[in-house]
Amino acid sequence: MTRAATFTRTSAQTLRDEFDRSFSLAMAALAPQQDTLLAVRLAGAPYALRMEEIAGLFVDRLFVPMPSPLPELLGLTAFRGEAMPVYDLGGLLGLRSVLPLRWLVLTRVQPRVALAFECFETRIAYPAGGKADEVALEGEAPRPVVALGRLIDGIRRREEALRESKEGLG
Amino acid sequence: MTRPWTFGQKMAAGYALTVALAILVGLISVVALSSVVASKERVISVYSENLVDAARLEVAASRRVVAVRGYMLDKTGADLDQARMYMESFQAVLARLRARTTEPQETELLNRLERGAAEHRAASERMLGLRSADAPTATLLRVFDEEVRPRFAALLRQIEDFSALEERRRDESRQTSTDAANRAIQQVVGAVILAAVAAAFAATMLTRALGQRIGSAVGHVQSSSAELQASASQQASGAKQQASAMTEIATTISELVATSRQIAESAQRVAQVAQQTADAARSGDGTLEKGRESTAVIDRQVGEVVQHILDLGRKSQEIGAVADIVAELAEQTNILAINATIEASGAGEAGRRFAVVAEEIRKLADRLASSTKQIRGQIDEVRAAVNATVMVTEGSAKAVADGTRQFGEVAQAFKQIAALVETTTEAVREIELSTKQQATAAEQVRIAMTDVAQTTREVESSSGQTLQTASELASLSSELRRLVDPRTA
Repeated sequence: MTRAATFTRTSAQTLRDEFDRSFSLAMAALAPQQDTLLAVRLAGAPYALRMEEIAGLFVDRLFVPMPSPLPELLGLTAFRGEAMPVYDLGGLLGLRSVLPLRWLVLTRVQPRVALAFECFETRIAYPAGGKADEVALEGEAPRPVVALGRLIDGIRRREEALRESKEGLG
Repeated sequence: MTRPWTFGQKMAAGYALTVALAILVGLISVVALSSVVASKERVISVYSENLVDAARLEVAASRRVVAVRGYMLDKTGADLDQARMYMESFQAVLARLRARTTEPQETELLNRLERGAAEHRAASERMLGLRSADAPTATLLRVFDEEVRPRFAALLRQIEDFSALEERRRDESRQTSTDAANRAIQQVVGAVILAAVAAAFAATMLTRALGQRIGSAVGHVQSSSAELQASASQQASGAKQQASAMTEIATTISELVATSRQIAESAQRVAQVAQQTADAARSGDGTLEKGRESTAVIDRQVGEVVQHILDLGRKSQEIGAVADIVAELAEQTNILAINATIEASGAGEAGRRFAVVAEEIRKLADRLASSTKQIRGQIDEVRAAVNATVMVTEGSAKAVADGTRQFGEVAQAFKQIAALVETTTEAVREIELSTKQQATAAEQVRIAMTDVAQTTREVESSSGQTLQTASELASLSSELRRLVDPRTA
C-alpha cells in the first residue's frame, strides 16, 4: 500500500469515526462555551474580529463602486434585499491594502455596514467572558482585536460632520 | 672643318712619305747609277772594246804579215789563205769599230787606219803577187822594205794612234763616270740625308701624334681594363656566390627529392589507411542503420511513456480540480457554519441546539478543509512528481529525440564521412601519384640544378680567367703606356 493510499484511508476513517462520535456525545457537551473570533488579515497584518459583532461572513460578493467624500467607502452591496455600504476595514484602521478585498463581514450593530478585507484565516476559540484586546493563534504572535462598534461610531460621526458641512455651505 | 686624320691615315702618310722618300732616293740612285753605268758601259763596252778591237786589228795585221812572210818564204796556199783570213778578220774588226765609233776624231783615225790597211794590203798584195810570180828576192825585199814594212809600220802607228785615242777616251770617260758616280753618290747621300731628316721629322711628328693618340687610347684601355678587371672580379665573385648558392639549391633540391619520396611513401600509406577506413565506414554504415532503427524504437517507446505521463499529469490536474472543488465546498461549508453559528447566537436559547449543529458542521468543514489541504498537498506532491517525471520524461524524450536526431546526424555524417573517405582515398591516390611525379620532377630539377651548378662553376672559372685576362690586359696597357710615354713608368 502506498503512502498516499494509507493517508487517504486513515483520513476517511478518522472523519467517519469523528462524525459518528459527534452523535454519541450529549448536546451540552457540544454546546460552545467560549467566545469566537475570526482571524483575518488586513493589509497583510494579522487582526481578529469578534463574532458577536458580526452578522455574517461572505466572500466574493459584488459591490458597486460609488464616489464618496469618504475614501474608505468602496461602494454599495445588497444582502437579502437590503442595500448597505461597503467600507475598507483596513483603510478605516489606517492600513493600505494591496490584495483584492474579497471578504466581507456584516456588522451586527446598526446601521449595518459591510466591511471588506483581504483574507479570512480561521476561527479562534476564546474562553467565554473575556474581552481581550488581542489574541494569538498557536505558534503566532498576538494579533489585535478590532472593535467594530467604535469603527462604526467613527464612521457615523464623520458622515454627520460631512452632512453638516454640506448643509452649512448650501 | 677638316676631319682629323686617323691613326691609319697618319701611319699611311708616314709610310707613304717614307716610301716616297725611299722611291726618290731610289730614283736618284737609279738615275745616278744609270749614269754611272752608262758611262762605265761606255767605258767598258765602247772604249775598252775599241781598245780590244784595236789590239785585234794589230794582231790580225801582224798575223797577216806573218802569213805573208810565210808565203814569201815557202809560197804555200795556206799562208795566202791565212793572210786572206786575217785580212777578213781585220776588216770585220774594223767594221765593228766603225759601227761603235761615233766621234769624228775616232772616225777620222779609223779612216786613216782603213786607208793605211788598204795601202798595206795593196803593198802586200803586190808583194805576194811578185812572189807568186817568183819575182826576185831583191825585188821582194825592196818592195817589202819600201812599201810593205813602212806601210805596216804606218798601219801599226795608226792602230796605236787609234788605241791611244781610245785609251784617252777611255780614261776620260772613266773619269767622267767616276765624277758622275761621285756626283751620284753625293746626290744619293744628300737624298738619303734629306729622306732621313724628313723621315725623322715625320717619325717625330707621327710619334708625337700617335703617342698622344695611343697614350689616350692606352689610357682608355687602361681605364677600361681596370673597369673590366673590376667587372670580371665582380663577375667572378658573383659567379662564386652563384655557384655556392646553386650548390645549396642543389642540396636543398636533393633534400626536397628525399622529402618528396617520403611524402610519396606516406601518401601511399595514407591511401592504404583511407581504403581501410572506407571499408570500415561501409561496414559501419550497416551497424548505424541498425542502431538508428533501435533508436527509433526507443524514441517511440519514450514517446508513449511521455504520453502516458502527460495523461497522468492531466489526471492529477483533474484530481486537483476535484480537490479544489472539495476545498471550496469545505470553505463554503465553513462559512455557512460560521454564519449559522452567528445566526444561532442571535437566536438565543432556541438557537443553541442549532448552534451545536452549526458547530459540528463547522468542525466537519474544518476536518474537511484539513483533509482537503492534506489531499491537496498529496495532489501537489503527485502533480509535482508527475511534473518532474513529465519534465524528466520530456527531457528524456527530448534527449532521445536529440539522440535520435544526433544519431541520424551521426549516420548522415558517417555517410558523409564514408563519402569523404572515398573522396579522400581518391585524393590521396592522386596525391600519391602527384607526389611521385613531383619526386620525379624534383629529381629532374636536381639533375638540372647540378648541371646549372656545373655551368656556374665553369662560369666562375671563366670569370677567373677573364679576371686574369683583364689583369694581363691592364698590365699590358701599362707597359704599352710606358712604351708610349716612359715618363709614366
